[in-house]
Amino acid sequence: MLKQLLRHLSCLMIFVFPLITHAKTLEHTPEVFDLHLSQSSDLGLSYLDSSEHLDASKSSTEVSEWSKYKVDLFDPQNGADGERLWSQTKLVFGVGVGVAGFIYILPENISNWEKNPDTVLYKKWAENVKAGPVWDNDSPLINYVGHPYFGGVYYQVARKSGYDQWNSFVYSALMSTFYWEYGMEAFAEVPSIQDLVVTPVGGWIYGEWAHNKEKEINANNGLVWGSTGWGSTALFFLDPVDSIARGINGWVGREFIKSGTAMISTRATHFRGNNEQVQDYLGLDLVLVF
Amino acid sequence: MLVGGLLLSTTGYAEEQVSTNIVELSIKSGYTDFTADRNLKGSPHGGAGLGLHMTPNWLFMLGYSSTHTEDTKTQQDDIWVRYYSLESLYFFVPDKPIRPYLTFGFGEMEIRGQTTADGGADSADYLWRYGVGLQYTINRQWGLRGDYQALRSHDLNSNNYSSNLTLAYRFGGGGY
Repeated sequence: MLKQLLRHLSCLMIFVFPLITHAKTLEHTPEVFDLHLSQSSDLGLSYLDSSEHLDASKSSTEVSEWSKYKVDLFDPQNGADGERLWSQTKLVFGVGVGVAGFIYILPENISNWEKNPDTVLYKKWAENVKAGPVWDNDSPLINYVGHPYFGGVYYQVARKSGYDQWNSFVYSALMSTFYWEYGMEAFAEVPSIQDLVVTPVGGWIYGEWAHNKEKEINANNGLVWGSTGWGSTALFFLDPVDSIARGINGWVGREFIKSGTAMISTRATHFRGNNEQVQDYLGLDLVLVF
Repeated sequence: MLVGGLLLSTTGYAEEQVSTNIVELSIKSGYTDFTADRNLKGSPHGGAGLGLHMTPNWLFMLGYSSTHTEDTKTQQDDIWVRYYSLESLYFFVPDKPIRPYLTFGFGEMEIRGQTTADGGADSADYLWRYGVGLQYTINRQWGLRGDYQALRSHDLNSNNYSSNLTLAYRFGGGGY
C-alpha cells in the first residue's frame, strides 16, 4: 500500500515539488529573462504587448520565477480561442469513446478484446489504474517516436488555438495523462511512467518544431527547396488533417470540413480468445468533421 | 501533471513566455557499487534522462539507467539491473560556468536474472537517491555534469553507490 502510494506520488513529483518551493521567491536572473524576451518576439503573440506583463514597477517580491508557469487554459488570454480548444477536445473524447464502444461490441475474434464475462470492463480499468504507473516494456518505437508524435498532436490542438507554449504543453500533459494513460489505455494496460513524461515533453519539442516549420513553409508561399511539390508534401506530413481538409474545402469551394484531428493509436500487448499473445501495434486515426 | 498544472495556475500572473529551452535531454554513464546485501558485482552503467529546467536553480527529470552484472555468490553472470527515478537537481550559482548541485529523487530498481529467495528470477526494490555534483556549462545548450549518489534501498535499508558523468542538451536555443 505504501509502495503504491509512493509510486503515484513520485509521478506527480515533477510538478508538485516546484510547488513546495514556490513560496520562496528567487532572485531575478537577467540572462534567462533576456533569452525568453528575445525568443518570444517571433511568436506573434500579444503576451509582451500587455503592459501588466512588463510592468517594471512590480517589486522583486512579486516577481517569482514560478509565476511564468501560469495556466490560462480555462481562462483564455491574449486572443487564445477557448471555444476551438473545447470543440477539439470534445471531438477527441467523443471519437475515442465511440471507437472504443464500437470495438467492444464487435465479436471477440474481430476486436481481439478479451470479453471474459467475469471481468467487468470498469473493474479491469480500476485494476490497471491501481497497479500503476509502471515502467513499461513497449518497443522504443512506440515509447519514443509514437508517443511524442501523439503528444505533439495534442500540443498542436492548443497551439493552433492560439495558446502559448506552456499552456499547450499543459494541455498535452492533461490529455495524454487523463484521456489516454488513465483513460482509454487503462482499459487495456497499466499506465506507464515513461509515457506520462515522454508524451507531453517529447510532444512539446516535436509539436513546436512542426508548428514553426509549417508557418515557415506557408510564409514562403508553400515552397520547399523552391518547389511547391516538396512544399505540399512537407505540409502534408507535418499536419495531414489540415492538408486533407484544406484540399477538400478548396475543391468543393466552401468550408465542407469544419475541423479535424489526427491521433496515433497504440494497442497494448493483449490476448486473443485462444490465449495467443498479440503484440503492440501503431496506427494513425484521422478524424474529419463535416 | 493535472494537479501541478491547476495549482500552478493559481500562482500569479505570467511574466514571460516559457519555451522549449527549458527542456533537457541527457545521456550518462558511470559506475554502480551495490550494497553487499545484494550480492552483485559493481559494474558500469549507462542511461538517459528527460527533464525540465523550471528555474535557473531547479531541474526536474525522469532518469533511467541500466547495468549488466553478475552474482558474487552464485556466479550467475547474466543479470540486468535497471533503475528509473524522478529526480530533482538544485543548482547553486546558476549564473556561473561551474555549478555545484544537490540531487534528490525516488524510483525503483529492477533486477532480472538473479535467483531470489523464493526461487524467482526477478525482483524489484524502491530507492531514494540523493547526492552531490558539479556541472560544467560548456555553452548555452550543452552542459557536463559529474555526481556521486547514494541509492537507499527501501527493502534492504542499505545503500548502493553510483558515480555518474552526464552530458546534457537543452532544446530551443538553450539557457544554461
